[in-house]
Amino acid sequence: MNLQNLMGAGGGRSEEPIVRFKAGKCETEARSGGKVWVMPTPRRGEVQLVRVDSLMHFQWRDRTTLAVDASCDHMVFPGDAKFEKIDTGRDDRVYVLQFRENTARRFFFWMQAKDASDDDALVARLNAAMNGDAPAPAPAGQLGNVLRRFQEGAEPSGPGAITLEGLQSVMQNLGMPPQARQQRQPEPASQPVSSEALQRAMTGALPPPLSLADVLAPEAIDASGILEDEAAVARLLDHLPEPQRSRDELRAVARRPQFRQALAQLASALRTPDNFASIFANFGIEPSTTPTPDPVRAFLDAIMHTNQPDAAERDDDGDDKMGDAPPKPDDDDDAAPKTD
Amino acid sequence: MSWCTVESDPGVFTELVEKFGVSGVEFCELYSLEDEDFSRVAPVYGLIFLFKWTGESDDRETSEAPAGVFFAKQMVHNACATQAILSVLLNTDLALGETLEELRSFSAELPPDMRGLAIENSEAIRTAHNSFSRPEAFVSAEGPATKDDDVFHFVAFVPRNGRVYELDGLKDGPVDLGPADDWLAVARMAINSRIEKYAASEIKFNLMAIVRDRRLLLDEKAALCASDPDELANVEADRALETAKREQWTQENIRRRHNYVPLVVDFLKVLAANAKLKTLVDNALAAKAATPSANPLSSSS
Repeated sequence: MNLQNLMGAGGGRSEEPIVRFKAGKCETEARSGGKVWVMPTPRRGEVQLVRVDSLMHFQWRDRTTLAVDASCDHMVFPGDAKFEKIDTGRDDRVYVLQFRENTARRFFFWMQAKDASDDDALVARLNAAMNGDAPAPAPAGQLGNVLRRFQEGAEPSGPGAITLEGLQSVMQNLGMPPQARQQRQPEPASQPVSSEALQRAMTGALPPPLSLADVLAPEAIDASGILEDEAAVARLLDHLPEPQRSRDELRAVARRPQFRQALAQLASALRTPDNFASIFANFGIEPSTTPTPDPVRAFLDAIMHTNQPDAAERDDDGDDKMGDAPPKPDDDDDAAPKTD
Repeated sequence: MSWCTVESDPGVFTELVEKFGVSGVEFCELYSLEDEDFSRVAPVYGLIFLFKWTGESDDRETSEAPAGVFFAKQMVHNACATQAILSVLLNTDLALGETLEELRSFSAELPPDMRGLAIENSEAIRTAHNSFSRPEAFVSAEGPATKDDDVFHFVAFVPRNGRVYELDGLKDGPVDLGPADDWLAVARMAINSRIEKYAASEIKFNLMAIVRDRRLLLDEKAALCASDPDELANVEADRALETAKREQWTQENIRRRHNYVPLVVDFLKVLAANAKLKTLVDNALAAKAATPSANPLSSSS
């Protein structure tokens, strides 16, 4: 298996940008005392939000060469990141793209348009598009249209008005939990909603991104009882380094730094659109039909879809242990004390 | 010709120099600059100090490398661990084996940048170094390292011809730190001042000593105290610990070279096939949801 070649090949298909404006990059440098210096670089460039293979990307590109800077091409999912102005105490037009999950993941830019008067509007559009347009196929189109009307500045009144009710039905179509709207009672049902309220609703409704490291936490693996299953153990042993194919090593492996690194590698590769599809192909996993904006979630859903318990019974001929597997309630009983 | 990054670890470095063909030495990590830490591992052939590189400016004067001092300019970034190791080894009188002796004689008359190139172009050295490449299942889109990344830099300290030298391949020449009467004290002072410089910014650093192979040392000790059964028992117990340490290094290096991504994926598949994956996913989601910081905007309502 040579993933390396496969992964590098094939660029993603990108469409017209949703938002684009002139901006330069800033470099950062850590200084003593935990301070970070932010220095604008002179290259003429632009920030753009663009869909690549139907996934939203925040990119920076050189305005002369029009080449997207590979080190500044970030996939963004609703609720992931915010683009905001930095208060320097002066008239600087410095902005930061800040990812929520990781405070260290932030990128600085400076506005290069001569006139600052459009800054606020452009940034608002960028944030709305970044946090609104879910990349899931069908329902996202619906929601995308709703949001686009906001972005294009349509007045939320008249025949095309968007109501909270309408929004709720869109969300229900997306399979988002109803409590998200219950928490926000103040707006009477048929009143126009503000873009801000929509954004709040979206953020509240979206499940937090799933961490692969949490799913395969050593305690979770122990509690699952999977390593009590002879067939599972025999199958997993094959993936250990040849001189180390022992049951003890398998028990210990989830705590090894190399295993934890592999989890991080896989998660980060899944969040890179070029790699996403090839990973599925390489590991023989069929994408699930349920849309989800979180690629890790999509991957796990697909694995569950492709490896359903009864299907495994048919496929794995020697796997007659299946019937002996402990019933589910037992798992939960086991899981409770150990995961605490 | 690419060089992989190499983990700074005594087990990795020791196997690396053994692959270069050097025997009778090993690396040990030092956790403090205390006297006793150094005397415990004597004899020390050289020190390698690793720190997060911040592109600092250092205006100490460098000299042209005097005759008999091996100094090479670093030409490839990821090779800096190997570069520092070679800077120590080639400034000792240890028997280094064919590969390094060849490098030593071949590069004796070369200026520092050509020496750096000689290291880079040595097939044997690069192959040994790259044997530690972590199997990257995926090409990372990050591109080359920038100042923001965790870029580490290695600097070597050695006694040579009565002087103590700091050898930093990013500089133009060695920094002469003074007479080598007590070379470890001189080197420790230099390291300490560097640590103090970074103390405020929590920069990571790590100090490694190149020392005599502990097993050889203990074998010699055992021969000397053959008539003292108590002492001999102590030495033999220590020797057993060293053997176990070496075995552990071997196993860890096997893990370092292994690609665990297929295991991760099959773990997930096996869990799914046994109807256990959903519980794990739900638990992970529940744990995430319980963290208030995960959802900063919704807290305003």
